[in-house]
Amino acid sequence: MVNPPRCDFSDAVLAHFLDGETNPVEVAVDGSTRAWTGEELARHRGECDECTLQLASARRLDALLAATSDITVSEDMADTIFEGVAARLRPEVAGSSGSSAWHARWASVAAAVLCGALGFALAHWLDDSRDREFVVTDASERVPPRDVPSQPESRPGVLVLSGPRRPVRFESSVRSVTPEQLEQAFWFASWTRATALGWPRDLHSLDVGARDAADRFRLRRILEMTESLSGRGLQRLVESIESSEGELRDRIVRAVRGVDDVRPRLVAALRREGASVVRVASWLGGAPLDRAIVDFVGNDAVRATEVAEAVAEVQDRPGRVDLLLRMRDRLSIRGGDDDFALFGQWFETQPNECSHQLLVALRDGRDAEERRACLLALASRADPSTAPALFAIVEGPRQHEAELAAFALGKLPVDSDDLARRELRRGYLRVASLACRRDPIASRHLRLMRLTDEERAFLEAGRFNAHQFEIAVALCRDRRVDPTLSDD
Amino acid sequence: MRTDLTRSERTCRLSDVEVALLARFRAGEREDSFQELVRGQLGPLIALARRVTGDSAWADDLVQEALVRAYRGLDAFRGESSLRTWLFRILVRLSKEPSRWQRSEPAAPLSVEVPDVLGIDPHDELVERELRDRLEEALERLTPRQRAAFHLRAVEGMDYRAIGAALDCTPVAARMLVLGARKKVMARMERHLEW
Repeated sequence: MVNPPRCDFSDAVLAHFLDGETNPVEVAVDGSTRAWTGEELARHRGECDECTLQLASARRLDALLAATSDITVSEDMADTIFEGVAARLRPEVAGSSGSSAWHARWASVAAAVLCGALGFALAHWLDDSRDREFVVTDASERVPPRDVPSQPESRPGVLVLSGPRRPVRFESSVRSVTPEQLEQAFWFASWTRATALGWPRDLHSLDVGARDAADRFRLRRILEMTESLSGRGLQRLVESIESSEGELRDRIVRAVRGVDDVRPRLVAALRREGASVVRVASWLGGAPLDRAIVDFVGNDAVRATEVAEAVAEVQDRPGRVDLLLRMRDRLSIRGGDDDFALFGQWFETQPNECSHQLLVALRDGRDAEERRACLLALASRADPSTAPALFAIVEGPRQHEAELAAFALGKLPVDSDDLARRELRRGYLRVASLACRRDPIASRHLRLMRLTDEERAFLEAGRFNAHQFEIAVALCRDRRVDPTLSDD
Repeated sequence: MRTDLTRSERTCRLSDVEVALLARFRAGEREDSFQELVRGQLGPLIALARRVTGDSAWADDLVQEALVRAYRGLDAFRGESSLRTWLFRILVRLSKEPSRWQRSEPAAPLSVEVPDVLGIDPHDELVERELRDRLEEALERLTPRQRAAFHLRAVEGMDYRAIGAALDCTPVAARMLVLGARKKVMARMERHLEW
């Protein structure tokens, strides 16, 4: 049996032998981290049964996944797909970019109901006793056709009845819309076909009282269903509500959220189905969404990758940086106490524009802790495009930030050789950065420093984390002998 | 309307055939050239869509909508990534907005047809079927982005730069997604993957 990996090298072995990583791969062993070359990893793999088994299992898994994903597209299947594409591209179908399938569906229903309404009006003149369906929206009573007043107020598509002693109700002929279409559109089977969830607003010509009554009815029906649902049923209900839009959806969500015993079951059901942090947060309430995310993750243990994915879903990309910085103090994330490791993980999964946003935050930010967090995040992203800004900070007046910027420069990809060429005012920071990258130029400086054997080995190993970089900076600053390394 | 590609575009990520079809598309032969251009990508698109949605009916909707978006955006496509990566990127972005493309009812639980590429013995078929079922079950536990990343790595063989381009994240993030997905699936399938 293959157990979950315990060997510290398992990830590195997979990266090198399965993913073809040619650069040295960092491995944390006994509290220290350094990069291991391919030869070293091969040697370890030859000696470690666990890594050998893990690699074999991973290869088998990849092969199995590939085998189950082999799709053969026949000519007929391709033609069907292209016909579907052509249909969506046709102007008369409301499926163009920016419209939703929901609108497309309602466009056809609206047209059918309008035709039905015209037919109803004509039929009303011809046959007063023609069968029509009625819905009462403020009670469960159905009103038969014979009780409909003879002089109703009517508007295209909808008939509105009101009076001082009658319940407010409305009706419409739905015979031109098939039951299957209504069942599909109205996600729960209900006799309230004419007023069931999702009736298009643009067809409604209800007065405010009738509309509110209809909404109350819908909410009551939904809550009745919600209380009796659990697990998968609740999940399906959530998906259906989420597919609706507008003010009604918001009201339904608020109503469901307010039912005490539903809330924990809802969260549990969503999490069990792998719902994202954003999705759960949207159901727990709070506006704007980023505040809901902060509240949710502050009270629920989530993983760093989930946080990163949640933040990636925030539409306003500049807001992502703010969101992560605000969450920094509220999160309880498993994985360790190292600020850099946690924060770095979150930012590593952000889109490429995040580097730019971090630099903007650095330029405009005044809070020292937030600026520190930005620099650590930039170090984790290792984005070469940030080098000019980092150099400027290294040369800047703030000593602590200069060190963090030098740390970030030390994490840039090895083909970025600006650091090797540039002379900095704080020369010892340059040496520390070069040592962090295991740049050959660093060894030239290290030879000119008064170091113990242990200190020299430490600096030559490179690949420092944030704490180790502080130590490296201190050594480079205090042990230098060559006067060209002075910072003035 | 541009009818040809610049030299830098030609030397980027497109084959000569794709470049020619793109030129025909931009010259006005839109429908036929588009179909020829993307026909070879349908299989991978459908596979990725099924992996991300977990539902064959919705996967077909997603693929169709992705092709619609591709059709509309093809004039502006510069070939800085491969055509497949570009299509994958559209599909993955769309997968986050189901209200914009879901038109079908959910299908029955996904049943994957597995070709006999493993050359398995008939009496081992039951074991292999269980293996595939456990794999599908394990994949359902992943987030859509993890599933997409894992699929692009293991099935499409894309490197992390290309995966990052498709998923709109850095290569490091793409590797994290794949690593996380692989770990989760291996943990759930440990008994079935022993060598």
